[in-house]
Amino acid sequence: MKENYLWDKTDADPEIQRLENALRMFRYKETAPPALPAKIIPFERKISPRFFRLAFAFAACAAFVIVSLGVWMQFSSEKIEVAKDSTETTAPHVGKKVSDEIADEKTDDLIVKNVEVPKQSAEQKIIKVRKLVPATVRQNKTIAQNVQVKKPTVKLTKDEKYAYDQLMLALSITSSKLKLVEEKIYDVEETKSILENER
Amino acid sequence: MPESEMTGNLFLFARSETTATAPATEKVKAEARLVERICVGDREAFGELYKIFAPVVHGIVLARVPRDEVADIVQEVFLAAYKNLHTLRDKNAVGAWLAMIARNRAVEFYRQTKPTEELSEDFSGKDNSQTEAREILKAVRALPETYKETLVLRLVEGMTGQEIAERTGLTPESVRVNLHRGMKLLRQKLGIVE
Repeated sequence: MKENYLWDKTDADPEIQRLENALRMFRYKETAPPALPAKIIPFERKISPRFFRLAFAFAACAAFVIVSLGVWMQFSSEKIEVAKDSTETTAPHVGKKVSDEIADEKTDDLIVKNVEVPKQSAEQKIIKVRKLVPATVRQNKTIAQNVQVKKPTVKLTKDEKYAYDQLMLALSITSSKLKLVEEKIYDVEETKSILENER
Repeated sequence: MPESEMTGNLFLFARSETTATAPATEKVKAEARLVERICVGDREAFGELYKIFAPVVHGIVLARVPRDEVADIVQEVFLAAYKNLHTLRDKNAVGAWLAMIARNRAVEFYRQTKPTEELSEDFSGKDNSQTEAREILKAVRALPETYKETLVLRLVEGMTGQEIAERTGLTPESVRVNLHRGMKLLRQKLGIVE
């Protein structure tokens, strides 16, 4: 085989020439170029069924996530409602008790109160209300009171709930003020006792 | 060999190289200019480009798909090239780009249609020369991708090694190697003894 003939057709090789002659019939025959469109239109890519399958899978996943999220949120909100209901039913009694206690405190030094919810009910709650009182008084008297809370039968309306919230707010403000008063009194007492000791 | 003689030879070699590549560069530039003209909207320039590259595209497609389909695919390749010519970054590489489109189209052809078997001489009833030609083409097509493409361009389209390199974007060295190895394999397939 002659390399030159294969490369640039110099130095003729009869064998390659024979192949060339045989294959000449398949050679390109000059034809007119294709008719061009008036305007260049970008190729429209066919959307493969694979794309549809992927899109469907993605949509299904998204739907599943959304549904599961919705169910979870619903479930969690129900839980919160149950918790709220339980606090709503117990809180008014406690508030009342606490306010009564504050009123009684002037005469009767109450230190610690345990408000217990009955064990049979679903909303068993143990609420501890602690009052700041002098350590000496705290040692002398300790009263524990059990309060039975009835199962709620009536739900609060919007207005009632608002009123309840306002009341709770007022109570919390009052209690904080009382705390301040108490602290001041203790300070005065302590300073008095220190001065007496010094004398 | 004295040093001056060696440098002289090197100089001569360098000169001969530059003279050999100079027309090729000019040709490439001419093709780039053609592409620019087509992009502007010159339809005659597209006709010129078609004349230059149609044999290459034909050879590349013929090496892969049945003969009856070749003409249609060649037209499709040029039409696709015309529509996407604005996306071609290197205007000098239009030959390599067209070759790539032709290869992709050939692959796409087999993806879309079921593989078919061309009729053998028993059914077609043509003369012996055609039968031989078909057998040779069949043997060429059975070669590895790189060899069959170069051999079809050389033996069917009658292009020289240099022309193949220029129009397909391959290096002359790789074209030379492909021709040599492809020819060796073809001989083995056809049972030609050296």
